[in-house]
Amino acid sequence: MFIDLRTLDDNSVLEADICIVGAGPAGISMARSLIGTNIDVLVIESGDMDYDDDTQALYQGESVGVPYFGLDEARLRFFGGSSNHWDNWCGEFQPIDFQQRSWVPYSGWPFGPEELEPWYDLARPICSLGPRRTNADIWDKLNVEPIVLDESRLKFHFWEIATPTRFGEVYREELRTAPNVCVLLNANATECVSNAAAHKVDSVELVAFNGRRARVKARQFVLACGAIENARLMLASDRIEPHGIGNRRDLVGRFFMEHPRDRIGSLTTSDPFHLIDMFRPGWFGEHVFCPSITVPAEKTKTEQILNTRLQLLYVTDETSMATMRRFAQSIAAGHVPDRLAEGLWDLIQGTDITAYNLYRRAIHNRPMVPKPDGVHQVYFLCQAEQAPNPDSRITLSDRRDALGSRLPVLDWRLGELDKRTLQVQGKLLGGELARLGLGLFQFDPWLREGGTSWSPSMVGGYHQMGTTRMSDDERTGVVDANCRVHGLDNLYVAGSSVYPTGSNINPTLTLVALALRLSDHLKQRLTERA
Amino acid sequence: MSLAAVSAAATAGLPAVIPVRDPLEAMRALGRTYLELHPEETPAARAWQVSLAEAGETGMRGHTARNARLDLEEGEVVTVDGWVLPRSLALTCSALALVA
Repeated sequence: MFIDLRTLDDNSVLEADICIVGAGPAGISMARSLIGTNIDVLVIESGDMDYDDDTQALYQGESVGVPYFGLDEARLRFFGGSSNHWDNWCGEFQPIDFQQRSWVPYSGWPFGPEELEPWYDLARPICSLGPRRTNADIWDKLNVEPIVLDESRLKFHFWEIATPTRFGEVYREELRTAPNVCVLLNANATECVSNAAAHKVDSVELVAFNGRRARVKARQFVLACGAIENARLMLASDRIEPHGIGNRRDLVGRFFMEHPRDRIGSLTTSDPFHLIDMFRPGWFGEHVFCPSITVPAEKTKTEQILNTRLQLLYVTDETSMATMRRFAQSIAAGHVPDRLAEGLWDLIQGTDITAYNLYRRAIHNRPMVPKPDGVHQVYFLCQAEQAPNPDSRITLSDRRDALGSRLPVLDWRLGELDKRTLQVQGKLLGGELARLGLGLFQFDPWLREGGTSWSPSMVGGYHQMGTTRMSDDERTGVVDANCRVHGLDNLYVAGSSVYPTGSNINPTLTLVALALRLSDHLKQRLTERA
Repeated sequence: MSLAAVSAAATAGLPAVIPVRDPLEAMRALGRTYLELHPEETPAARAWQVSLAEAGETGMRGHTARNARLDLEEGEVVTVDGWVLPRSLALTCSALALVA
């Protein structure tokens, strides 16, 4: 059932067994997994079913550290959350990501990969992914002969890409018809109110843009609003605990992590085509896999570096490939392509490569490639793991949003280990490419000897993590291994804000797996009490 | 040792990477940069000069190529002005820079 706060009586009190704040991939996955149980679930969503400027503006904030996207650009605030604009590039964390690494301060999860594996199995179809595959399986199916890397130095790791799953669209009907799930729209959570001893959350306060207020009382509360908003809401909940709920150790908001993305360098080679062909995303049945290069766990240990991935991309002035893609999308959508004459001229000029790409698709099921003589440069882009850093953090501004909540301030910081990792990995890559006779690699200026700053074009991956990190020790984590906030009996956090370390892979699949695991924990807890 | 021989040896077995008119000057520049960044490599570069000379003009090419291949097999690479190179090639460039 869906209801709208704006239509409820003012100061309504809603009750549920579990209140989930946030209807993004984590919140929706949890609610779905509770359908059919005897647990009453209330999902609180700030937005409506579609995008709205005023609601989206509630995501605004300040950024005072490493330049970052506008905070209201990086996420979406309506039913389905940021899955409404994701590309669905996914992957599982690797075993090294869970380990405590002596050379990575604050690293280590409270459990290993085996704990998450069954939850990944359940999360994969939710994210529209197929079964787990081996690299050999994928290469074979992609019909590509990979270069033979020295696997003591570098290895391949694949992104898995599915048709973007818009959680708010795909799972809407299921939630609408679920007898034990209610979704409350246009309800902005402004505070978690605890009891006087600050050991238990009593209620969550809500407000709508029309001024209507409500309060939710539940046996268990789950914050699933994203890494910035989870921390923001906890810090703003300072009625009983002056520094924010669950923040006795001053950890809430700290350890903000992203996946820094930027060019690290380019390759001078006489045969760019082979590499471009090999590194293009390719089809495996309905799914797409894109190769990238990472460093084996043992080597990260000997080199004392993070776990980072590199992707090969290229610069071309040839446009027929983009035109073909544009035409295909228009035709599939039942439209006559825009700029038809211009597009046709592009295709005529590139008749040879157009024909070749059609042949590749029809006969070999291979992705399109650019015309070799149109390629100006082959380069590598990193998607880096960021070392956990307590000074990289979310705090609250004195400025307030339209509903009176204090705005978040992001101070994103990167450190020496983050940069050294890219220098070491680039060197390993350059050495391997030269060994294989594929060309010579040159770092971009910001990573060369003596380069002291970060690249001005460095961005994140829209992957916000770490601000309510998980640890069994309350001195180093906000939540425990079950995602329960230390010191509070009934407050939990779902989403990538609980990641102690962020790996190098897009975070959604893992956060869905963790959300399902948390649902199961809450189910057991509520059942035991009953 | 002739500069031309060193030049030939340096490029042996490796792709052409430095898009300048005068490869020899590019190599010298690379060698100078390497020694500026790694002055501790100066004795090795001097020793390298000797080994190149011992290999003789006809053997230099093979000498550098062989050692570069060995470096790459062992992951013995260095960074010079952003280029990731086998250490032997950096030493040959350095030897050339010292001659100049």
